[in-house]
Amino acid sequence: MEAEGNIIFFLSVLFTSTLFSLALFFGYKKVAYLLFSLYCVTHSIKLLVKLESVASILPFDMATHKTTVYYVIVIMGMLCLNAFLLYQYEFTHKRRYLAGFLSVAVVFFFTIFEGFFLYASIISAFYINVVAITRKKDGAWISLIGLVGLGVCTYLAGEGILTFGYFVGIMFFIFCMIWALSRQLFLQNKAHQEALTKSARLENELLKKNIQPHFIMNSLTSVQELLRDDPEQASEFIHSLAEEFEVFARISGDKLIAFEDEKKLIQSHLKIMEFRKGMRFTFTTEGMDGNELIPPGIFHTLVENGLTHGYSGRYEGTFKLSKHPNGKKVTYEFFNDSQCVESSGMIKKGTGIKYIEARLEESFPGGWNINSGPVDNGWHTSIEIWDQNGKPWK
Amino acid sequence: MEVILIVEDEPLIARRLQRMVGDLVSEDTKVLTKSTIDAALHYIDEHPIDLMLLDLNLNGKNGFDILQQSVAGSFHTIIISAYQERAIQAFEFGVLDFIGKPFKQDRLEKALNRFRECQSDQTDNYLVKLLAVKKNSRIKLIEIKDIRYIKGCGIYSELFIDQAQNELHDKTLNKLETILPDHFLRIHKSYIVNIKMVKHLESHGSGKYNLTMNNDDVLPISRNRYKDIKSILN
Repeated sequence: MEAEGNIIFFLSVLFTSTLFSLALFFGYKKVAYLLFSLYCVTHSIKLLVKLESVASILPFDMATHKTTVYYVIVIMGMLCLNAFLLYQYEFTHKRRYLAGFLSVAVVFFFTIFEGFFLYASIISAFYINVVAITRKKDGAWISLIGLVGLGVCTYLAGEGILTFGYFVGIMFFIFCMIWALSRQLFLQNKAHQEALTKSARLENELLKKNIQPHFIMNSLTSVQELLRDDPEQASEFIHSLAEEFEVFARISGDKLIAFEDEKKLIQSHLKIMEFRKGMRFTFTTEGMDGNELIPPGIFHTLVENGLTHGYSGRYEGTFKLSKHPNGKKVTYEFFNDSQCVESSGMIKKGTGIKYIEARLEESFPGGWNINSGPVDNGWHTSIEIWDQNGKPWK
Repeated sequence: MEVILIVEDEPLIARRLQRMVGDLVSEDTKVLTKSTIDAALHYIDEHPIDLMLLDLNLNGKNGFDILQQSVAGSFHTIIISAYQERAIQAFEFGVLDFIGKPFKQDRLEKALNRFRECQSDQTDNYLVKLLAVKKNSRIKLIEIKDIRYIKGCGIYSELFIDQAQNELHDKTLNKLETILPDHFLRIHKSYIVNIKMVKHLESHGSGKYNLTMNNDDVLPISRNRYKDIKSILN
């Protein structure tokens, strides 16, 4: 009978780790945490059956069935370990791998010593971890160190150099896993906070469009003038301003809005600019049904950019937006007929394009593309969006 | 005949300015509007003007490029802009006044009064830091702290600059006096000096007075200005 004191010690560590892991599972709902607690539980059982007090209440004789019992427990334990790593590092085909692992384990059970199986399963865990490292998963390096420790300690235990070596290895592995887990949680939390801040900033930028001095001050000055000679026109102007403000206020908190609202924004804006510039503007769409979900303000920004450059001395302006779905992608083509041959560094990235890019990244991370440049009779911008999950676009 | 040129690209606002300025000036003054900076510069090439009312944000162009071209001219510049936060920067370039949009008649009147006064109360001018000079087709900016003194040359002013070559500026001494800070004194019909670079004052009797600069250049002081200058320097 092994030293009870040591057993109690290891049991308490495993018990605490089980509880800790279960708590994480109930908190974050990740299956990996449940599997980790099962890993700890199976090894607790392995220790428990070594205790005289427990062995005596078992329905079978521990002495004769010791090897079998240990082997079964080790298979369960190693299955949990491999499963934990597969889930933690988000592998595909987890079940297939585990089914294969289990079948091999059963074969080993009837043919090979527990020791060999142990090493084989540690190597399997090692392999999973190394692949995780190549995929740049958070914390993979730390868990690898844990596995190395586990392997080394198991070997030392096998050679008789380190008593309870196997369990010392497990302690080391658990320590490393907790370290890796906390790192992962920290990074996830940080990413979440950053995303929230970015979204807040974008919302702020959208709202500020309303009160940009060039927009609001010039509009108010224009109204002052209209009030003198043409109060009817002044009233129309103010109505369009109110329309634009109303939509902005309503959509400001959303990450995606229906195109219908964006269209309202653009139409009000163009009406205002018609008064201000003394020009006629037309805005046409093709293939849009109004229900398309797009980030707020992106086409409005393109209209603003188009208006700022290249309509001096003109009487009319045309803006066109068309939609081109193509399987898993959709492309929005935006065109306006401004002359932009001005040399004053116009073809540079304004804050407008940066806003559009930030919004696209916010709602379609890594799944968008934007191209903008002069064409024959104007300026053309195309925005491509595709669903990362490979679902076809409506 | 006095000429005031308004440069504003939005027709409603241009109309407003044209009307309000027209109401504030006499019939001898010509007020006209151009809607692009190029048209304005083209006009200036052929016709002399006295005052430009300029919007900084013309059709998306960089206002400060336009501003530099304007303040390098022989006329005064008043900015009319939607962006109030650039006011200080504009003053550093030597504009006469900065009016925010929307604007009222009395604000315009105040600015035009300033334009009228050749030797106005200069307490507001401490902000001017730069003078723009035209070199070939480029604009060069001179820091006024480097200007030792300025000599009038007919319709130009010659800037004598510390550790650099002289430059010509299109404004007359009278106009420059309106925008330069207090430490630039008009000591003579043909000279404005930077007090900070004066070495000493000399009297040679019988009404001849001189100022010696820190590089030993000697400049004449006119008789009627001597007393004031002496008290300012002490």
